[in-house]
Amino acid sequence: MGTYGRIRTMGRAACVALVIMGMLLGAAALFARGTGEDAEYPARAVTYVIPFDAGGQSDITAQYQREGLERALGVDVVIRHQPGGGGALAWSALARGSTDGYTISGNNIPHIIIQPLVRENAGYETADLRPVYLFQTTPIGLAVAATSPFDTLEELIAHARANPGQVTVSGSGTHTGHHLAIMQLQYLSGAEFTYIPATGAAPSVANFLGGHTQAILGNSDDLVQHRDAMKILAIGTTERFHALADVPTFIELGYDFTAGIDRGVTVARDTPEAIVRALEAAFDAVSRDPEFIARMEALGFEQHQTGADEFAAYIERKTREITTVLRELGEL
Amino acid sequence: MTKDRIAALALVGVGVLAWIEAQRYGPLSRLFPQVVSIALVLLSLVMFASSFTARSRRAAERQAESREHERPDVRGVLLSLLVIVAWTLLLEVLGVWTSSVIAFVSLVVILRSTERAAVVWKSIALGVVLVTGFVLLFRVVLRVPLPEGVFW
Amino acid sequence: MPSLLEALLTVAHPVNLVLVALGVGAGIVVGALPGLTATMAIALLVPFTFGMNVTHALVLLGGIYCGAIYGGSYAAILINTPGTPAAIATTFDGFALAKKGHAYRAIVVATVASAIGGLVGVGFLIFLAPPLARASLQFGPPEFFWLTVFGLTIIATISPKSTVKGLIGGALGLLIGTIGIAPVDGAVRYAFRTVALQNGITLIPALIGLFCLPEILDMIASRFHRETAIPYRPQRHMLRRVWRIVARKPWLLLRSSVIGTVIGIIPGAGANIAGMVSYNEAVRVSRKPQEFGEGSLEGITASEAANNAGVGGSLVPLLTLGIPGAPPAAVLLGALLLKGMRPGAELFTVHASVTYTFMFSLVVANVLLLPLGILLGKGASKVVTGLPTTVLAPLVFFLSVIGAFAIQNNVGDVYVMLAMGLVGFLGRRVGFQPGPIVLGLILGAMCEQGLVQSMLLGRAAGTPVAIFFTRPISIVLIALTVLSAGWPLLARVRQRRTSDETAAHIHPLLEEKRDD
Repeated sequence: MGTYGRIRTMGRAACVALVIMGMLLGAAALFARGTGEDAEYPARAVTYVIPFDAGGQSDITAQYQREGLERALGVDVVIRHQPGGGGALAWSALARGSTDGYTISGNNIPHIIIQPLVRENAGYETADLRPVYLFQTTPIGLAVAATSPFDTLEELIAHARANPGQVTVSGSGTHTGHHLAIMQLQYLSGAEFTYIPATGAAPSVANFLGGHTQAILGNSDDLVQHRDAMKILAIGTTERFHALADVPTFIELGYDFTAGIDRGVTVARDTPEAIVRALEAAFDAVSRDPEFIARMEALGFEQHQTGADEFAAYIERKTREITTVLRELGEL
Repeated sequence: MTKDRIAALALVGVGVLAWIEAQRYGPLSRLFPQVVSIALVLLSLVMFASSFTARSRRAAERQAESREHERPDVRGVLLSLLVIVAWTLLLEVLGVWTSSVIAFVSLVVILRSTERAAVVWKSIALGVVLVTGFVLLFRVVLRVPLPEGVFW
Repeated sequence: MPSLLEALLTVAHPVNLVLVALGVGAGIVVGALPGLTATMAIALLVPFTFGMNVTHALVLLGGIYCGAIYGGSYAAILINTPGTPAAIATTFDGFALAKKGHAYRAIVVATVASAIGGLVGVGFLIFLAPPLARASLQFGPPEFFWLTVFGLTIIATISPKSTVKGLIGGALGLLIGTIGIAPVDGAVRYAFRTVALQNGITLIPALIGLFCLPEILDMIASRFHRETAIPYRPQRHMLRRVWRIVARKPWLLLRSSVIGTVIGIIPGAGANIAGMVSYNEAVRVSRKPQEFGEGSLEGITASEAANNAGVGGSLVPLLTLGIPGAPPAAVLLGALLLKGMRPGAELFTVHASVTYTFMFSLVVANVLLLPLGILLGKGASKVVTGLPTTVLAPLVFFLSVIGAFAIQNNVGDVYVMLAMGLVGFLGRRVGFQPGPIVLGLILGAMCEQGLVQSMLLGRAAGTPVAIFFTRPISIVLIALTVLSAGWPLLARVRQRRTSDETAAHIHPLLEEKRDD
């Protein structure tokens, strides 16, 4: 067979392939329309999207919730990681996705508030995500090295006020909980720090332990782990934190803000009310399990049992607070 | 050496565009991309200039000579690319298994070197078995989700 | 010391031995699949360990870590695509050997080098962990900046045909690396208001696309290899032959392993950088640098010994300080914490027997790499080389698609893979290699982070320039950079001088015509 004939058959084969693909596409469109409404939610497996990498704090918590959720919902729960853009990829997919309640997603504060505020196009708005349940906070605290001359928050702030920009503070990322905490502290105290953002909690801790920065904003679990090497000056909880009972809160010390990373769960905005309530009940059952609470607290988390309405009010309050701070500090 | 010149000019263009776009960013996020885009522009200009030297002309001649006995299968490449692009676009419409099997079969048909039907069928069968095996490995054994569509 | 003895006995327990073997085997398979990295292999298996006791869990995960880093070499050698980013430098010589029909030999070399490198790394972990970890903390932002600048000098080594094109590739990689959220002020760069690009170009899909797609299209383009894409010439007694070759180069092995360990220890720099730096040093020291890239066994040895040594290295700061030295170690940290084991002094006192059991199990894992790796490697090379192009080309693309998708569960990454593949394919036509682009992509974010963090720190301390040039480790890195960048020039001059001498002997007139 000559080259010409060969090319002709190849062309024909490609045509056939494309026609087959086209036909299947048509069939696919028909199928997609054909799937009807489910009678009772949930009737099939629920996908629980974690907007971060496997192995992180959100993932570990979800892995532990899974069994309880399956018991409460009576169907399989499939955990699926969809990291990227600090969570924005997963949230924008959720915002544009289906409202049938079979795809739920982790909901992290302040991420879902700050991203739409500071980015040209984060892909979603805070209001696109319907809050379902808030179950956990990782409080953020401020610490200096054990060898540091500063023993209290007041001393550190006085020094920073006298020497604007000279005190370096390590933290994880920009427009994150850590960054927000330093901005709130600057806003409320009038002191000026130099914030050194790292690409994650671990490199931030490494920068601090190596003596490259003078202070650190750390997650409670990192603070607990490295407490021998540091003096923890304050923590961002409302009440004293169970694992660090001798550390005062920022509020106690006269700086009226909380700092932490809140974890909850969310669905697309127009999800039917009944489905939101069913999910809320399932997460409530899991979050009240004493064994689950004990396990999570041992990891350095603060556990909550906050339902959909209260969670929505909390997000609204936080949004106002964050917008004010960002505006005052010229970040918006 | 025309290819080198076109590529060099295209890269100069990329560098200039990157530099202009970076001007919108703040001082801390502008610095690095601007330094890199300047480097890219300068290096591409060097590449453009050196394509005029005698040495590169000789190298091009040598390359042309060695290429002569090997006629690349341009049509095969283009048709395969078409299938590959369609494949990726249909992943989430048809599902990974269905789209992969269709694309696999198309590629086997496009790439076959013989008209012997038995050989082609053997390749197709092998392809379907391999695709099914890997989809099962990922989905069932490793529990890694794969693109889902209307079909499997 | 009683805990040491106890740990030795625990490791020797059949259940633990079986778990290590299972872990290594599973790790090799997952690591060999393009797109499934060592990090992912461990993350996938962590939920399976929830029900296990802590020793069993750690022994299994440690085996997976070693196996996956090693398994990446299979894809690198057989289909020119690093199975994990740690195996990038293995592609340079591994695939060249496979093309010549020596895939199996390349795999055996990789196996021996990995096992020895891995053992050296674990040796450092067992004997020197605490002082090394403390030293690793000296590595601050300025050091990271200089480390990446040093890393970029590797471009000169891996693009011998045209340094300018290599540098352009590197610059392009650095620029691609800036797409997405900026490390320091959070600006979203080069996304052009699209949602998908705010994530930037993820390494793994780019890696698969740049290496894999051009290879597939080349396979298709050359109609002469239609029957089987890669020849295969089996040889008997391969291990003994290879051992004889490798054992003659103890310094190469030792140097590569130490480089791998040290880079593994530095938090944030991982096995992928280790392999390339070690490759660079091997080229520089070698008496036959022209053989690299054409199928040099030394090249494979350097890359694989270093990346597996990095496993032990990355665990040094993890176990002593709780700071992971590499991404897979970060997932291991999660697993440790879940079991209530807090890294730091506690691990070596309260949990000493578990910790030492884990370390010894890594020794076992590296020893097991030899039989398991050679067995699986022989099978893999036979199967892959036996496939006709009509099956191999679609199969490799299929694996690229699912690999690119699986890393983040994102179909956008498949498009990234395809786009980068086209860049790689067209680039190859003009003489651009994927190596420098990928190097730029890997080092870019770290380089910028180091640069801008150092500037911020310098400004706060009132020493904006001095911070880059006055710290001891920085000075060492600057010296290495100058040496590494100057070396190819120096070597060329030296080569020219010797060839000038011979040329002058034969025909004095040739001298004038040389530089036209």
